[in-house]
Amino acid sequence: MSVPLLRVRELTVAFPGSEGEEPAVRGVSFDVRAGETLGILGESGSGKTMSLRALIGLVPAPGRVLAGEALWTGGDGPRAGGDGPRAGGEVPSGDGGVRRGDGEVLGGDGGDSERSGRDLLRMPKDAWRRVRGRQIAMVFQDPAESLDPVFSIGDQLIEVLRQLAGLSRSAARREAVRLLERVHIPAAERRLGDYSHQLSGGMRQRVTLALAIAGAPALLLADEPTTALDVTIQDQILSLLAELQEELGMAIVLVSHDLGVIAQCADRVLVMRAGEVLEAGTVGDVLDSPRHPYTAELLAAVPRMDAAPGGARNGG
Amino acid sequence: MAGAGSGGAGTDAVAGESAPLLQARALVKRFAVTGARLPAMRRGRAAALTALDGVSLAIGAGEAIGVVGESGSGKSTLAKCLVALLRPEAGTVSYSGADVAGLRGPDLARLRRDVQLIFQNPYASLNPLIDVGEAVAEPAWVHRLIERRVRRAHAAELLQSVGLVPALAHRRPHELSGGQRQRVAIARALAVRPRLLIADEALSALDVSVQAQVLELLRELRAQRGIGILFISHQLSVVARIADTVLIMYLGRIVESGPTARVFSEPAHPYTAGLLAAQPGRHRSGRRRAPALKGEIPSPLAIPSGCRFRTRCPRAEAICASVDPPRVQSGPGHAAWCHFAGEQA
Repeated sequence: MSVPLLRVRELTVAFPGSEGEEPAVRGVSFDVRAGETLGILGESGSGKTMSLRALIGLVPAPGRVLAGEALWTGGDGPRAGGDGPRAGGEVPSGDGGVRRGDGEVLGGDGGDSERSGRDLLRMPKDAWRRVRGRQIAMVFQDPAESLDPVFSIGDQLIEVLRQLAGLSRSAARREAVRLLERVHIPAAERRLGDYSHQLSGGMRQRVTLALAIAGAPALLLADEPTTALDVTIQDQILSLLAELQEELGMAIVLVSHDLGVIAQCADRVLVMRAGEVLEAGTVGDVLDSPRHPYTAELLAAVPRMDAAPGGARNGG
Repeated sequence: MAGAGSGGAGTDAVAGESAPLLQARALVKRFAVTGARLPAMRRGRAAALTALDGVSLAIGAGEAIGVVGESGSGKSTLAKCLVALLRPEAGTVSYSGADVAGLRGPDLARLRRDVQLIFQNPYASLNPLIDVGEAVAEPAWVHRLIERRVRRAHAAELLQSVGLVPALAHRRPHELSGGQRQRVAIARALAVRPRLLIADEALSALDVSVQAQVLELLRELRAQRGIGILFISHQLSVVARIADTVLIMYLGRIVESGPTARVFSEPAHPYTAGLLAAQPGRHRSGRRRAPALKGEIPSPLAIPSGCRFRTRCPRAEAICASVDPPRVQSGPGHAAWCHFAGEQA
């Protein structure tokens, strides 16, 4: 009966419209458990991306969170644990919960188990500095949202590592190489001086993953991280995500329009449409026997490999 | 060598019937590259990027052929060469038996009318200042298929034919959804009663439910009007729904071709097998596994020697680095350019 890492209740996000504020996310509730992958499946305009952005305080203006709470029990200091990617300084902060390797939360803010944790939707700006990157990190569909075109990828990694782990420049450099190797970038040492425009889309997304795991977050928010990539590269990145998740024990919330990606990666899934959760459950339950007609429609709309025109497959 | 190497793809599909509508023979297309786009070492020297390296295909009336490949495989360059928007360095494209490079005046206009392109981003192909009705009817009166004064009525018909309400004729492109815009682009292509549609990633930006509707529309157009379709896509599952024949491209070459159902169920080329294995959702939930293919598509500025897929191929051996693989027949109408294509278990 462990407390979920994140408990989201009645999340409502709205944007100004022609007739007052129009909700893009309408009372969405879900839990994220430590170490699991929660998939959010939906088409454009379903509110899946805004639900995710609200959790890390990145709802773009003029949109805003109108209501709800997102209770974070993962603490707000650096995570402890031997196999994190940081080289040193792995001391839990005074008020942070100390996470063990198995993802169980010990302590926290010292409250009772149900209410310990803090509401991400009402967190002051300066408090985010201790959460973003350290506890919750995000990767986007477009790596340009995370990479700065005028700094080399090495400089960006080193900067993040110095901020997050307080490393010296030379230690941060060594750690940056280790992070690039960890996301399987070949000749990592030589890549440090590269700028994002010199990298392929797949390599860029590997770099953003390296940045995202620099602080060994307990939760990774991934918004369509493979949508802009070719299928063989998507396959590589999804495999890498699974690998990093296993090594770091982090939970992932994966937003995708692609049923195949969700089926492959997620343990549980939320199906969203028009800002609402229509259906939630394990991937097996929802995709094999959908309860909501919309989910069934989505499933039916996915073209199947074996449904080629001209009838039956050769050789049965 | 290049021509022979990739020759004949797609031709089996129309064997024994009348001459193909559109035929490409051993197309080679290079682009000169200079300056900052080159690696530092090679700057100052003239370089050529090889986008197509001996591609042949034939599409007959009412046929649906799929072209599949990753970005950088040459799919879009192929589409542009087929409609004479790009001039190939070598090889020919013929339309109804005539070389398109030699078409002028009314003959070129006929090609432009008969073969219509639909692109991935309809927003880029529609003028934001012109309402949908004008945009849809314009090609028809430009090609003198209708009189200008009846264009609004004609537009209404065209919009209905793609499942849109005629009232949309008064809207501007930005007032439409992505799916509506793509239907408008299709209506516009249909305005000139084409014989062949070339759809270049035309469904890729659409939501899956909208994709299914537009796919159904294309299938109907083919069935009811006998319009041929060359369907270029990186999505295998969509190609499986629409194309009888599929061509798999890699780095400017066709590496496998054949009946779609057969190619997708019994791929003869390791690249096709890799593409199929990389489709998401084939494996459920979280089980870690190695990616289907390693590495990325090499630069078309430096195409590997021998077999161009060898740098990513799980089966590559010494011969692959030195010898360009020949065409290997692996079933009726099914061929692959791989040294091991004939040795499937």
